[in-house]
Amino acid sequence: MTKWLTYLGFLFVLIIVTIVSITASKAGFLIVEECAYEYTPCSIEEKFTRTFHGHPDPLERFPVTDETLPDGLVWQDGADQKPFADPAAKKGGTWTSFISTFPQTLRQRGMNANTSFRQYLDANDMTLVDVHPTTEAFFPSLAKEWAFGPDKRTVYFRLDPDARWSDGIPVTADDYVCMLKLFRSPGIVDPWTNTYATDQMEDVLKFDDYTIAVRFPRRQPNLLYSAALAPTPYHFFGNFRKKENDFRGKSAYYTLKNNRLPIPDELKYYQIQEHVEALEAFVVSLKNRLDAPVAPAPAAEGAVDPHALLREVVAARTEAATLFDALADGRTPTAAEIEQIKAITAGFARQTAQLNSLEPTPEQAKKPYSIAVDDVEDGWNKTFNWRAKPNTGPYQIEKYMHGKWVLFKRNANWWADNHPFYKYRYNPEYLRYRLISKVEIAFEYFKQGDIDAFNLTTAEYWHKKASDISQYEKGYIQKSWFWNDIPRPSRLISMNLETEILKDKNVRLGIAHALNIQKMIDLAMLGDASQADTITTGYRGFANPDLKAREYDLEKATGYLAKAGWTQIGADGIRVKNGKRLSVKLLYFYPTEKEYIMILTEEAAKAGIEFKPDTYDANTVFKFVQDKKHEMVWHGWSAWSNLRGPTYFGLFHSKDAGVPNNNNFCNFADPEVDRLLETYRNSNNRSERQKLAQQIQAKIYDACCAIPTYYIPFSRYATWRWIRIPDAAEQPTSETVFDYGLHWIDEEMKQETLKAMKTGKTFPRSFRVYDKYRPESAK
Amino acid sequence: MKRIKLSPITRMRMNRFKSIKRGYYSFWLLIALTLLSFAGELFINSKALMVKYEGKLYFPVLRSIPGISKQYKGSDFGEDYTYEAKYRELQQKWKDADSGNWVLMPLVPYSAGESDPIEMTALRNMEQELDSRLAASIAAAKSEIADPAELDMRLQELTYMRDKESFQLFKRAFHPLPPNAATRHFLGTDKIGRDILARLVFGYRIAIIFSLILMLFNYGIGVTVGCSMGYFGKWIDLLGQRLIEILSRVPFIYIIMIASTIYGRSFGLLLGLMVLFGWMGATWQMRTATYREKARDYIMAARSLGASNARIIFVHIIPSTISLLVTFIPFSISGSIIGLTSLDFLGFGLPPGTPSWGELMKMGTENMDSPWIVSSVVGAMVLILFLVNLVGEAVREAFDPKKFTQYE
Repeated sequence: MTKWLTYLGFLFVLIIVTIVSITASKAGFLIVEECAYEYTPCSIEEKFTRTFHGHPDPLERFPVTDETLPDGLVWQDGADQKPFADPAAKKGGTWTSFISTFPQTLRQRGMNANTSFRQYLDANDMTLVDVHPTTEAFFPSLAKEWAFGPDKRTVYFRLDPDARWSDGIPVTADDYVCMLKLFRSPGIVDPWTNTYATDQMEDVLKFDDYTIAVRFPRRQPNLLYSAALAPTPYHFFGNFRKKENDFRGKSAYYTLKNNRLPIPDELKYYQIQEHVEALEAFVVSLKNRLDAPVAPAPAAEGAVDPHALLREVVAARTEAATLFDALADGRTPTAAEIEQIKAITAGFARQTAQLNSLEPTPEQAKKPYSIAVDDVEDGWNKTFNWRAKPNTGPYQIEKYMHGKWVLFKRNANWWADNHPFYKYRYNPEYLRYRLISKVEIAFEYFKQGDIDAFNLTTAEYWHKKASDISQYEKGYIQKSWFWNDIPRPSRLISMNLETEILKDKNVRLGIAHALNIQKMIDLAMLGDASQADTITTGYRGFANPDLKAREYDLEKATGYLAKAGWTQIGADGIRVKNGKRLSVKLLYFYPTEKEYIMILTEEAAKAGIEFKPDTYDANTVFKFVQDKKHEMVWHGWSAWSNLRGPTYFGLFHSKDAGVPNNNNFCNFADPEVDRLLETYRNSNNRSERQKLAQQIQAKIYDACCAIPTYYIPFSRYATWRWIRIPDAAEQPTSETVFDYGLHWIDEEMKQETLKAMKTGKTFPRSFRVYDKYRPESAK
Repeated sequence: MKRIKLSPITRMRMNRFKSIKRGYYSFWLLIALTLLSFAGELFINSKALMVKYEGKLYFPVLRSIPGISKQYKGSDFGEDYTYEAKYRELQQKWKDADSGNWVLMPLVPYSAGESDPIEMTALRNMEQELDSRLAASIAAAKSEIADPAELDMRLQELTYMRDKESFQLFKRAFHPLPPNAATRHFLGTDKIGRDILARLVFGYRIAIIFSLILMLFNYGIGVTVGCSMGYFGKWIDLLGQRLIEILSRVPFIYIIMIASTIYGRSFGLLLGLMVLFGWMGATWQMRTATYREKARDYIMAARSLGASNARIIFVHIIPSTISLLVTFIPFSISGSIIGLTSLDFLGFGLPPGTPSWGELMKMGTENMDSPWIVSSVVGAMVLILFLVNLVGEAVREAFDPKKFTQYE
């Protein structure tokens, strides 16, 4: 009896195991998915006659634009730039790294596509032009040459005929048009991308298979930087089809305009608005040339005729642009030009007023317009969820296992292998990203040699966990300390100016002097950070050198608080005024910041200020702060490119003050700053932008509503001995030594090291400090 | 004053409790520790116990009692600042000056939230010295060695040596620092330089207050609801049972997360939520006990004599069922200490900054290379829970002895 029961038990277990494993494999776990594409080169003619990737029909060529290339284009090709990679680099080997979450999709656009994994995919999408790490000038990438159009919002490109997708199909003008159409498709269910492509981009024009132009509706801070687009593989996504979709308000206008359809009168408002915004850019700048403000021109009697207004605004925009360009060199305007500026400025004020009178009612704004637009097939998100698209870059996903790892393989036929600026770069044969959700565990893997490099930028790892690991003492692992000078993320403590306590500037100054940021850096970060002086640090030329962080000084803090009337000190040491305690809520985003906050809280209490720190999960805090329900918040903004400069408009413009759901966390409103912000946003002159940025920083510093805290001026890494880093990796624009793919894996050294670890042989210990670009402020 | 008269049976139970020595002594030890923690400010405080300045005595520690206003400012003791006096600095200064003024600091001169600062300037100076030494040896190496490859290796070795010394320097200077009687950090410091002993003591105080209040509420509600369910039965019982079933199936941790998002984290909120989801245990016990008692003959007798419901409940049922509940009390206290600690460990407990064992435990497990953090808190927790459980065991033994066994 017992024997039979035992057999039955075994059988039962067997059945359970089988069911579980079948379910797991059905659900896509534990199965290696192949993503690689065969390299089958073809000609352009074949590209439009054959079928690809399971699509039933050959591709339809997009129509050529009816515009012609303007005369007198000056073509540039960045020939004066020099290659920077180290010719000693060896190809081969596998670079293993880790990711902390597995991506939900391999698409780079569409639903759930905004994942942290996307950066590895984006890194393999080459753009029309690329930025040189030393000079920050542009060099050719997918385009061979470029030229700026006379309207200063169009760039013309001649494409490199050698460029190929990773499956061998040539990259042609249609792939750029496809990019714009794909981004505008409502079917991808990606509102951010839709809005960006619809409102922020005007058109991609195709002149022939290898000549395109990229046009924006407005002038850009750095036109070529904005125009450096990455194409999408038309042959992979297939033909578009027309589909009726409902659009409302502004997006209806832009969709009609982009599809070159007539604009109905009800939508004229948005059309005029677009031109008024562009005109404003010039007017704000031109107005600065006048000595006295100009009174608005009187409005005509009766109802506003939108057609007449539109004509007037367009004419004014053209005139203002011409005038702006004529005065771009900074010369003093002639008397005639002054009169012209006055006329434009006065007209602009009247036109704005007239435009406002045309503003659609909420019902009108909600009225749907059914427009047939190019759209992707239904279920596009699902179809392409786990299909890695062919790309133009060095690596393509070879295979992956759900929830385990993703393997990239170097494209053996990469078109840019001998391109002067890409030669000797991206050297490892494979890139492997393992899913390791905890950093501590990843560190253990690293110590075993299963991961090639580990980021030790945090003081905790550098000074404690990794300070005396035996692999380092024996010379198997090498350390490097890389000082960099790049735009830093702004980590700010923002105060809500609409709260009872914080609307008093003296209180804000008192709090600023009671924030012991240096002690926080010393204690919680072991001194491994620098106190930031301005709200945007590290942008060369943009940071205001005259601003210095307000020091921790209880005497000053007490003085300012006394000025604000907070003189009495309560029983618990916290100041009291009219029975109200000087107590402010201080929100923060991540539990890891708790210790920083605790030190600030304890130090501020010495000045009689109580911080009540609190946090929820990061998304909730963000929503909470966007809705302005906070008092003080410790938060961060990621850094922008130095080519473009920092952005302030969304952070401090008065249009967002007191209104929920935006990023003006201070509820800051100042007409003078508004003017600076508008000019800054609309200016495309780099030195003017730098000057304005400095003025904006000074204004915010004076208002003392966003207090800069700290930045980390370096990156630190531990790497296994076989990872070779050339001297060229030290570039003024690099954050880490791995930024430009210049390192390589030395297989011989790897075998030597692995053997030595078994025999106990040691190597000379290595610790390198790269301090060529150490910022002056961090010395 | 009328002396509280103990019934003979209670007196017997008390005597039985006293006779169980380990439980009895644990009880007093626990009381003593709790009282000590209530007077913790006298032993652990950044404010001085006593200051003698210019022939006058001051008692700054008394100023930490709520209701007594104001702190002493630096200017009160002849310093040039107008915020709270820095007593540790004053003590050192006056000791050096030998001016007849003195400061008497508590045993541990740090408060629970205070970060002990580091001598950053001294450290930077030492680092600079290392740097200049490195520069000198690099220069020497450059003049000695001609072969670039060999020179490179030598330079890297030199940088490595400098870095190694700097690590040692940092290890000695930066928090967490190991226990040190000289700095009066008897259990060391945590990651940001707060005294662990101070955090343990004040963390204990909060935990014990929390669990006592929680117990009071849980048993108050439990006894009331359980007793009425058992005594009145019928639809009250049915309704009560369904309510309890529903409440016990609500995922408690999610409720805590959601509520703290809406209302912010606070002592009161946490207590309220834990009461809301914690009263069911006592209720179940009480309900069954009441059912059992209600069926006994003496209740029948009381009822036939015309006793009211209230009299039957309060005079007959509760006194005879209470012994059952009393035996659960110590275990429920240890349970709520563990509950609070684990919530803090997960980050959903008391507001940030409140001294708490869970927070220390988290920090300790994340910094296993500083073993004094985790060993202190684990040691304290083991001690307290051990004592509470000894008391609990003794109480159970005293109130509900299984002295006789009947064989049928």
